Amino acid sequence: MSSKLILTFFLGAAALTLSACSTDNTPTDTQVIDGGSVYDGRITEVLDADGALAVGNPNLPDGWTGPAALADKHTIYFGYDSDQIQDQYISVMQENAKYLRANPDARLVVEGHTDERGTPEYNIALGERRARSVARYMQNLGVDVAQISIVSYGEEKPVEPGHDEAAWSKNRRAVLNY
Amino acid sequence: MFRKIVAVMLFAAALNCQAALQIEITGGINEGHRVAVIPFTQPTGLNLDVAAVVSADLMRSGKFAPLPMTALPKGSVAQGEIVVDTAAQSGAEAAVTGKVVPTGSDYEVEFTVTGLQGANKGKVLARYSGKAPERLLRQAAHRISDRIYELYTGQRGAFRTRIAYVVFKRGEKYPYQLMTADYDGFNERPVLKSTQPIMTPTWSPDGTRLAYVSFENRQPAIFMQNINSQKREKLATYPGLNSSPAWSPDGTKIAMTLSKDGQPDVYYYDLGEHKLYRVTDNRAIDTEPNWSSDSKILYFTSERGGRAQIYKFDFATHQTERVTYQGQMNLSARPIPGSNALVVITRQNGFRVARVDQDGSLYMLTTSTLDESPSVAPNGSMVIYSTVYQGRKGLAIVSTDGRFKAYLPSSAGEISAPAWGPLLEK
Repeated sequence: MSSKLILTFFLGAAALTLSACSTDNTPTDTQVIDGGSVYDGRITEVLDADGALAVGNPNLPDGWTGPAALADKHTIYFGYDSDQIQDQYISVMQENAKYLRANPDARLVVEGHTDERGTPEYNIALGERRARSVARYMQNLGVDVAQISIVSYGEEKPVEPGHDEAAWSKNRRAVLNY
Repeated sequence: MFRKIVAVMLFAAALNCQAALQIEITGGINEGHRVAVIPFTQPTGLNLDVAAVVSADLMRSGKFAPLPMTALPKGSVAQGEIVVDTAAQSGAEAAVTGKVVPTGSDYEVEFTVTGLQGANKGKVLARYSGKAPERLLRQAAHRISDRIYELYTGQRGAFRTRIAYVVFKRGEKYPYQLMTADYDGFNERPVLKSTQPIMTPTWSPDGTRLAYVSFENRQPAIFMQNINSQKREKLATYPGLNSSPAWSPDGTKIAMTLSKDGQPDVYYYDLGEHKLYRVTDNRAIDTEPNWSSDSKILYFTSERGGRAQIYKFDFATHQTERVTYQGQMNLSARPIPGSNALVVITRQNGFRVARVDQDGSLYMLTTSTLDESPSVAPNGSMVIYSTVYQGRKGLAIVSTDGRFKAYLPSSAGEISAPAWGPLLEK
């Protein structure tokens, strides 16, 4: 991408805390993104060749970035319009709780997701409800509240792109990310 | 007559004239005013069929049923002029003729609306002319549509408005892209590209800024960005939700949903005072705030009565009142300017665009099942919304009377979150 002009803005303390989402193998303090600008806790915004402001860090991995031992134990699926945790996923949460108790420096981000039915703004509220429900359960399993944060993506980040129940059932989920 | 538009359009000029969205009409073309739009007399090298643009505009409004040339008897047009007696046999109530003539580096565009039936037979109902450079000829064509629309409906046309929307291009470095375009998909311009989702763009009433939700830091934040300079400010990054921004029509406030105090509630940020005010305080979900045209009422979606329904908060009385009773679930209320009706997404065999009239009755506007993000044209004539069509998420338009329906399939990516921009100066 050819960057013509580089603009940097201070985005305040709230933005700084977000680097907590990344894992140890991901550089966060200083790293080069486009055009030699330095990511130093400020958000670097690049004006792209087509005139758009380009934001976000393309070098950060998207998707799940937790410890290998939990690679197949990080997703809890939900029924339609429900934030009820089904029994079959309790072991997933127990495994994660065990890991978090043993690693007090580890930070969990509970991501809440919904299927595409309903409106995006309503779904983001439903996704938050799912994330909260999981976060509460993790606390009950003895995880320190300071280790847990939540974020709802609503229907914005489906894992399955289809538009039928097969896809929807995989998209109604909470992901235990690190 | 075109002098003012030219000034307005200069800053909106885009070199890319290709439409990312195509129009596929699916219903309602046989109702409304029967007007014949005759191909304009124009230079053969011109890469724009002015009459075709006008005809498509009029059709999309639902208020017109433009006649195809084949519906006119032979000899209806002679040397670019309408032959009234012959053309009248088609049953058309009026004919639009016009020409595009090069003058220096610009073009002189002229059009005439001639009545064909009854007392108007042979009468010139409207005639305008004006200058435009080649790159603004499409805008000049929309200007003609605006004039004709106003002639027949008494309301301003909305054919020179812009829309904003989010495109998702899987696999790209910045897959989430916030764009603006003419309402018919032409002259697309990128505003913001991100590695993470972008949601709910909302226009400032002067059309120079967009507020939106960005997840670029893996947490939602509400920003306000100038679409010409691309400079922006952050409005909200509270713990929890920062969602559903809605700019007030008077330009002074941005309503939003925050969950910083527990459950999602409606707030607004006063842009003059730089202060945040809380509007709702309820244990249930309150979200999707949207303003009445006079900025005195906030409509919102609430689960306080069990299933989601539309409520309104009146700033004068500080009273909250339930608005929708029909339908098991109603979401995304959008007032229709110039009326007492609302557009909503209602749950009935899926999620569909519907209109709620003042008496509370619900009128279904679509038959699809995954409709969301309705946005009403500033003159109240059309609704643009996102839906799934042939397995892909894209935009569609329905007239608020339900007569006209069209899909706007995209040439690239999945499209969502349309927001209809304001009417600019005359």
